[in-house]
Amino acid sequence: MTLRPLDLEAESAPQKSAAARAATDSIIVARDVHKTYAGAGQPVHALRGATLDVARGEMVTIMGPSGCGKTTLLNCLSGLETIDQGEIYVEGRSIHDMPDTERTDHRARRMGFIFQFYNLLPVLSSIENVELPLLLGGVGQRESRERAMLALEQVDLGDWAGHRPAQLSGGQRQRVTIARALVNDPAIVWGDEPTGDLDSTNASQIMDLLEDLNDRNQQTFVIVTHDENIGRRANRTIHMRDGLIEGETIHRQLGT
Amino acid sequence: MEELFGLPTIRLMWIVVAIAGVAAAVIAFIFFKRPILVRMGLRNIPRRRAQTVLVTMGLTLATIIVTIAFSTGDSLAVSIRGLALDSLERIDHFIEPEEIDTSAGEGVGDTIPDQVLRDLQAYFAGDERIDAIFGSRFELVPIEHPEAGLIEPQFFLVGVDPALADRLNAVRDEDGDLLRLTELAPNEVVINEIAARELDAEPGDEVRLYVLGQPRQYTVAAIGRDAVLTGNLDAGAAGGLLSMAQYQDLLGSRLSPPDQWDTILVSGAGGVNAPLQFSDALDDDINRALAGLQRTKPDLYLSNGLPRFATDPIKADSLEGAEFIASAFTTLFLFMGSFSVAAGILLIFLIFAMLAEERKPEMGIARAVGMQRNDLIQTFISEGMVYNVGAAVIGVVLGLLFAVGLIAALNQGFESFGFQFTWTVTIKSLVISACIGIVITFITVVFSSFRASRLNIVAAIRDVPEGQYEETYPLTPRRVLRNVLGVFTTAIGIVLVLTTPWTLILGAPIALFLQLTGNRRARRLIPWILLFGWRVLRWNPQWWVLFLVGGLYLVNLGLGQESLFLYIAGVSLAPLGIVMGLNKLRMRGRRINQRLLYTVGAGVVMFLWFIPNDWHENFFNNNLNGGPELFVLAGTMLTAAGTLLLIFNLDLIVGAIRAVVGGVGRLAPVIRTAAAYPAAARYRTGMTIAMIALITFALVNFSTINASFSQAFTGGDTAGGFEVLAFNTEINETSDIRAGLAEAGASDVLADIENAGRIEAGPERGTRAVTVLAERWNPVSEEHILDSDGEIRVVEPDLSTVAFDKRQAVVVGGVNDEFIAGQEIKLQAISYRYDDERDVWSALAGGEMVAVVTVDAIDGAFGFNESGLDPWSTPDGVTDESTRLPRIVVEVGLGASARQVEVIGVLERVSGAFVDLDGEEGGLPTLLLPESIADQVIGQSETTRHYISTRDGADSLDVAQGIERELRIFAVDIQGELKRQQSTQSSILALFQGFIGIGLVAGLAALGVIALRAVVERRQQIGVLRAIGFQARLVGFELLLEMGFIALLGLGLGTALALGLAWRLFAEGTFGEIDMYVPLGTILPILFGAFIASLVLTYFPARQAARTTIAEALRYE
Ligand SMILES: Nc1ncnc2c1ncn2[C@@H]1O[C@H](COP(=O)(O)OP(=O)(O)O)[C@@H](O)[C@H]1O
Ligand SMILES: [Mg+2]
Repeated sequence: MTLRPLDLEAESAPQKSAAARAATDSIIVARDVHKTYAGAGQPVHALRGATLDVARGEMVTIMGPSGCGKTTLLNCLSGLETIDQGEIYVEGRSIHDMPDTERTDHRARRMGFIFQFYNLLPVLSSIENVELPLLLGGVGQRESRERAMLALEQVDLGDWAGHRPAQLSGGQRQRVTIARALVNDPAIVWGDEPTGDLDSTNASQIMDLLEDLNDRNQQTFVIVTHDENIGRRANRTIHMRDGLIEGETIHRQLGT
Repeated sequence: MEELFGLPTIRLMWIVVAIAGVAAAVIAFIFFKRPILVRMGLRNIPRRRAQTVLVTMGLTLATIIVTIAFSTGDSLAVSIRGLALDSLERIDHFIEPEEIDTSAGEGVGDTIPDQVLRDLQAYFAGDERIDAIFGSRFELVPIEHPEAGLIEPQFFLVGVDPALADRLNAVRDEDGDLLRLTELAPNEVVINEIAARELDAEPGDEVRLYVLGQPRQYTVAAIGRDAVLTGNLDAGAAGGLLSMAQYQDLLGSRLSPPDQWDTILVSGAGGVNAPLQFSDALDDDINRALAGLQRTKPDLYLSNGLPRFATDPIKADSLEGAEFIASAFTTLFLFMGSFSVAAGILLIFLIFAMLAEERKPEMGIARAVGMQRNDLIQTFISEGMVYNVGAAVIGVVLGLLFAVGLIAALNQGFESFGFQFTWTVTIKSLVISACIGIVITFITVVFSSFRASRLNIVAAIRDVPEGQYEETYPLTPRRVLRNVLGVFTTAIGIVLVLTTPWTLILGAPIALFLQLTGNRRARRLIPWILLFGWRVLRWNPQWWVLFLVGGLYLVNLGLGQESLFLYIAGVSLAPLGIVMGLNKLRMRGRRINQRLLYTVGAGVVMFLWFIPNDWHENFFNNNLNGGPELFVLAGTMLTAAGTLLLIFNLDLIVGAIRAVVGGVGRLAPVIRTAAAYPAAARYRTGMTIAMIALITFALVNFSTINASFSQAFTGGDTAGGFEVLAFNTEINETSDIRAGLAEAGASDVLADIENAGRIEAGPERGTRAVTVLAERWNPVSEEHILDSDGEIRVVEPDLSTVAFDKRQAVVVGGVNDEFIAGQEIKLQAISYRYDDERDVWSALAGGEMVAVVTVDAIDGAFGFNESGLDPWSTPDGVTDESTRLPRIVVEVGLGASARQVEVIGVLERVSGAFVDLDGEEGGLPTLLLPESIADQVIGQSETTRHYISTRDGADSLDVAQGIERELRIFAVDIQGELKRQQSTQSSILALFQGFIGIGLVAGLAALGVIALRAVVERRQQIGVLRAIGFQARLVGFELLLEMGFIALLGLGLGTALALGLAWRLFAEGTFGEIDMYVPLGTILPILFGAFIASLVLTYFPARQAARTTIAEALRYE
């Protein structure tokens, strides 16, 4: 495990062509991303020029002190939020200047999300929650149902398909969320503290699951966490402070 | 208005003021004892402006409705009172010939001999209460205004002594100035305002009056105010006035015998507005005078042993009538408005529930740090009462504005009657309205506060949404015991409370129906029993016991008082109580399936409402009666049951919808969530559906019943196949329309006539008839009942024993062949001796000794009496629903002119409406005979009615006007007249519909409230949805769809229930033989409009939802 400072000078050169080139071999390419919130009093600079690349199939964790901009970074990369300055390419497509409808569509087809809370619609059953992305993507009713069931079985919740979120434990809920995040076979799965609300046993079970899925499906995972034990289990951990990426730790090379 | 629901309004006012005072005292108590709670409550008001507006809106509804009802009542009372006073002027009493015939068709008894007037003047000479007793004459005399080319055949010409009229100041002109009749020149006539309008005549114009076809020229001296003395004898009647000498001169002594009067008028002392305190006493005195005269001069005052003359305190009656109409209207408005009030109450419940949801975390913390539930209740009540007082003020103002608009609209409807209402409101009404508003909302606020303050502290602090946190208590023996005891204490509490009638002041509506138990000592115990009962009840109230025991109590009470209202209220509550009880039951920790329970419970309630009333009556072998209050109860109970049914089966409905439209490509997830959210939030969805359904129910039910009536009475059927109806008057007769028109040279009019039917009518006061033979009849199989010897049994009373006054009065008419050929009247029953309707009519055409009768003959007159002694009777089992008749023979007329005819057909009411010669519902029956037979019975006919069908393509209005012009008899274009009536009627109906529809505001506001709440409450969920790929506009669309779905459920439920109930009522024959007619042209636009309005209202919250920023929504607060 080596900690090396990121070569900011070389990577953040504001050359569009270079960035675009990099986008072809990395699934996520972010260059000099700035995000400022108006806030109540003075503006908050949540991101002050974040730059990073994530390779296809990689599992990356983002760590850093509370309020350093992890969630903001994740939201910007996934297109949940617009950015003030900089460039973001996901699968070669520029997220930063895409209209909202297109971004939404992109999320529906190519991405999965796991948040800390409020992941599921309380009024729908597990399987109905899992189906949603498929239905949104225009998959037929029957096929959606079959694929959703498969996804639930993958997370070991085949028997809980008809239950509402309120009838499930926290760990079960997060597993339903994972099933939902994976059901449409996304290229990237985003997780914002997916284990934050769970005890350590449940958390490590969830991580086992994610690791396993990452191994099997070669999907890219970007996960925000503040838990060292979780962070270690990725290929790489990116460290943030004050809206900047401070450095990274490589735990294991991709493909090993 | 002086009285309402039989209660003096002044007392009503003090009652509501007292209750409002109690409410104020409660607030004052809280304020002085716990000012902090009041401050906490008030602090919430400015925080959420939209919320404040909505709460106030919900609370104003009750006040608005009550204010409209009272102000309209006041306006009607004042206007109709004014109309009556204007019309009667100085006339206080009438003395008229009795309304019954005195001898068989001899024409005597229509007038009053002068001797009677002189007798009465002598009797009351020197009586200070009386200014004058005098006679007047009137006659229908056609009038023509040649210059304008207009004729009015129906013109009441009145003759009165001019000097006397002047002395009494009895006649005024259109501006209300006195008219001096003594100044009239010999050829001058006064005509009333209606006549002036219809003839387009002004003072100075030349007019002609026709007597026996001979014209005489007069000059219009003045336009007199519409009044009895200026010939305004019926509503909207044209007329005029001549001095007595001129009147006599015009009509001649044959038509107007000089020693006879038509009416004797009594003018009391003290002027038009004089207090009517003498009225009753004076009326009694007049009756006493007549009774005395009957003894001393029986030849003059009696006929066949019956009085010939009767007195009528006309002014007192008219003013009482004004009062009656006003309070009837107020009552009607209150009944119709109660739906809106109920919807407003539900809205308040809903808003308070939403407020509680929103404040749940802070309330949870307050409770956690030691605040009592009672404190929370008091906080809510304080807050609610501020809205309440504000709402009362706004409500009264809005209600008055509505009332002004309503009166203006009413005036449009009455335009063609030349009558205008004046808007008024009394202080008393204002006080009552405001206080009733405050009281209703106070009670609602208190109940809402109780519910809103009920919360689970842990769930509240964690802010778990509604319905997702259910506590499961372990069933300790202690808890079981407590609940079992609770059942008993609740039951005992209810009985204690219910048996102490004074308690009902607490708000139970049944209060009105309980009487006081007399004993004074018992009464003193009442408050203590009440308090004790209340405490017992409050210890551990079990609502299901309350419903069940209360329901059974009401059933029992209803059966005892023969009140359908109480009975069916109880019958509807009891099953719900049972269901609620079963819902609490746990068997080995498992509860009974809720869907099953509530579906069955609601189904039973609906079943009980949809079965015929007879079933209830037969089951308990009891008689149950009800009035319009049932309409309100039906709406409430059916809506409650229907809503329960929907709410507990919403997933099935949703599943069905999804099966049908769910596969619609990309909309599938939207439809799924839009259906799932309402199904998950039962309370608010149910409340909103109930509100919308309640008002829809009222609107649809009201429209349907009214439309069915107007369809029946103004539809094409009514005319019985005729287009023009013409009446002869006594002094202008045409017995043969064709001959008359030919003689007048009006070949164009003649050419348009296809059929000129005729009825020669006997005296309107009736001709005596009696049943002489009637077979017994089996109502079920419509067959004879054979006695044991195989003979058909007949009832044959001994006619010689049947006194004159025991014989039924009927109006006899003789029909000619053209009438029979032209009519399309339906027969609802025919004699078993005839095959079909055609046979019946041809028997009449053939001059046989037969008759057809109106339904009134069966409804009222033919009340069969098992003993067979009732001389005018239908055989056992013949009802107004029979389609076959046994043999019934009646004798019509008296003495030598009496004839025996067989009744072979019963005219259907609607299509036979115009041949009902009495014309009043429930009045004298009409017997139609062949003309030749009728001539023998009634001798010379009193009037002739012409029933004309026109040729295809002819304009019936032209024909009617042609007949009036050429023959100077009165003619109406029936279809045109019906249309005119219908348009007046429908504008008034639209007004009522608008009034009922006010309550829809509550339903729509409810949609807005829950939509707004949804946007706040689902922020994070919207964020997630957006993150996983919901487009922004889909989020908005989803909410719109959801609210639209709820609106549709409410509208659909209300419509279905209303049509269902209407169907039952029509099928049951509640409205006679009227057929149900669903006015889709009225209902669909209302439903569509309400639906669109609900979408417009949800549009703003939906847009807000669509604009949610994902990242912010996802951040945990
Ligand atoms: N909508 C917002 N308005 C204002 N400030 C915000 C908003 N969202 C985040 N911030 C601020 O941006 C900074 C970064 O926040 P965030 O990305 O949530 O941090 P982390 O996830 O690392 O804890 C914090 O200082 C936070 O207060
Ligand atoms: Mg964060």
